[in-house]
Amino acid sequence: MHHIGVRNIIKNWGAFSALKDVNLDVREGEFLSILGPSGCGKSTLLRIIAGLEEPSGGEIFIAGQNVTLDPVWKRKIGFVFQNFALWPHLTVFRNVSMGLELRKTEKAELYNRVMEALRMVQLEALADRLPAQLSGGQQQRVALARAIVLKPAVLLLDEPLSALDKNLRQDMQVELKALQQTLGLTTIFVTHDQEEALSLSDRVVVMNKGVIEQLGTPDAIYNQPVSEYVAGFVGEACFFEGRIEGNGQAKTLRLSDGTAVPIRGNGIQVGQSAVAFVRPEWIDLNKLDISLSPGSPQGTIERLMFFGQSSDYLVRLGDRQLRVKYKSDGPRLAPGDTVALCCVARVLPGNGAAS
Amino acid sequence: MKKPANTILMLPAITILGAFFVVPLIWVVILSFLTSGPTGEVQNQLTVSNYARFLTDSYYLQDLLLRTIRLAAIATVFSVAIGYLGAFVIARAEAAAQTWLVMLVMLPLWVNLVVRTLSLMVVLGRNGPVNQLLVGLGFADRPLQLLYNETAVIIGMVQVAVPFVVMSIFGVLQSIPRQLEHAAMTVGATPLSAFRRVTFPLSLPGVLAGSVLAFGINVESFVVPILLGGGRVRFMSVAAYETATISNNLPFAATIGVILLIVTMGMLGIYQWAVRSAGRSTAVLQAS
Repeated sequence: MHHIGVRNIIKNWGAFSALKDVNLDVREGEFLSILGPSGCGKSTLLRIIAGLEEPSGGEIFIAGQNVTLDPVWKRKIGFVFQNFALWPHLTVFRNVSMGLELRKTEKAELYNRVMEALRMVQLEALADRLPAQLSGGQQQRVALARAIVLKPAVLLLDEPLSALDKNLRQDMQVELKALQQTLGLTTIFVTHDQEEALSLSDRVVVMNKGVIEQLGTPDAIYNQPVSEYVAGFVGEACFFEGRIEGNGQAKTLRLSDGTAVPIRGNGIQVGQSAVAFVRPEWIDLNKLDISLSPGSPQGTIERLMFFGQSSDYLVRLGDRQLRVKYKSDGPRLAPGDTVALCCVARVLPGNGAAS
Repeated sequence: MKKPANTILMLPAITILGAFFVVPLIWVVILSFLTSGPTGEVQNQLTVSNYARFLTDSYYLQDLLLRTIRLAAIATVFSVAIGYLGAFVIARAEAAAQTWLVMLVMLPLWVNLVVRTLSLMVVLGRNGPVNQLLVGLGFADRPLQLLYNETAVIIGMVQVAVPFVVMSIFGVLQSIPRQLEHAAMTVGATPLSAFRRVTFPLSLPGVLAGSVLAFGINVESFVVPILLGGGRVRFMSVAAYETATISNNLPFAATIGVILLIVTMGMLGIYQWAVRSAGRSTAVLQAS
């Protein structure tokens, strides 16, 4: 049973089509992320669901109701804007209470509900402050409280964390998720940050140029992307192009330089040309002199990049560079070392043709 | 004075302001405390009699000062109401149209004030288009007296002040993100109540600035009351001019001028105070 239904939504800005026949079902209580680069139409889609933007065609359903023709103020939504959009002339309390004031909520109930919402975001002590007297993270919480105080049918979040710095963003991710689960709110979360989308969501939608490329669980999106585009956008990926060879279970991809990479995936047929990809953490590096995988691609270590909790090797492979996760149980490698790449690449379906 | 270079750079401005504004102003203030002889010569004798004469005579106090303030205030209310609508329309117009609309608002300022006011006399005259329309449509039996009364003066002052009001309110409306209104709509506000609860309160600094500007311009009107009032509507600046030229009483003309100045300064003071109390929200807008 869907809670939000997006049916054949089209949006044209003059000659440019921002959304091309988008269909999407969001389940009740689900946390769904829409992930994509800027300009892919993800924010436009969210604004159309909210009613802040009119679609050029198609229909929107919220909680079983066709709301396509309803203006924003009649849809039961909570919306959090990227730059918070708090009202600067009103206190935190009044920012949160406005929706209830507009519904002519009785005074005592209004007070209780506002304070309850502020307690949920740990801001009840700052109720009398003005937005300008708050930090970015606190402003974000006010925006969140303002959206949830009305007990909306759906919560729509338009890149709500992108204005925050990294540490705060991670804290807010945890809180946001906890809040969403406590309230059981159906949530659509728009972001361009793939880690954010993968870590928070029940399901992720990857959009590209006004089209949904893939809809699936974070695990499916990351490990079984349907296209080169998704594989490249959701995480670091190195692509191999070649012809499928082999017999029985063990199949390999023969590359144009004569080397071969072991592959896995669905519907692999020997003789076909295909595109496969590997993630940095799927690769083992072997020093060439002790190589156990003859015929596998070879590269040169260019440098080791240290990130604190982890490190990456940058490996030169012909005319391209790829990242390989450093593993503590692997061999110690130095720049200039020649290495063999040991990995099983995943074949993209349908030749992996992204576009 | 942090850097001597800044002081040097400011010297020309200080010199010009000092020589042509501050010194004459001080002279006018001194003049207002002197008296005029029988043939109009200024007598070097300090006295407060000019002020006593003005403040004790109900003609000057009621008929002149209060009328001036009243007419200027009424014109200000109309100017702000009309100017706000204009500013709102321009602020919500598309960017391309905005430039043209702003030009249109500024256009009257390129025409000499006397010419503008004279053309308004034609419009409001016995056989002017307004009367022709009123009679033609049957709203009036015969042409109405639209000139040489307070209404005419108010219409004239509104015409002068509206462009300034539009520009000061337009500037503030432009700086208010539309998203703030959209946010109100997401919590259930209709466009009208979103405007009333969000945009309008945030635009108040512009309304204040515009009304002070309009009042300042109106209260010092000279051409408008002379031409549209036709000498029948008493006005401070006109009275000062007539006292100086016809009555040849420079000290009393200076007194009228100084009192007018005090009224204007008083208004500015109230404005400063009002802005400071409303200033919190403006500061917030500018910071974000």
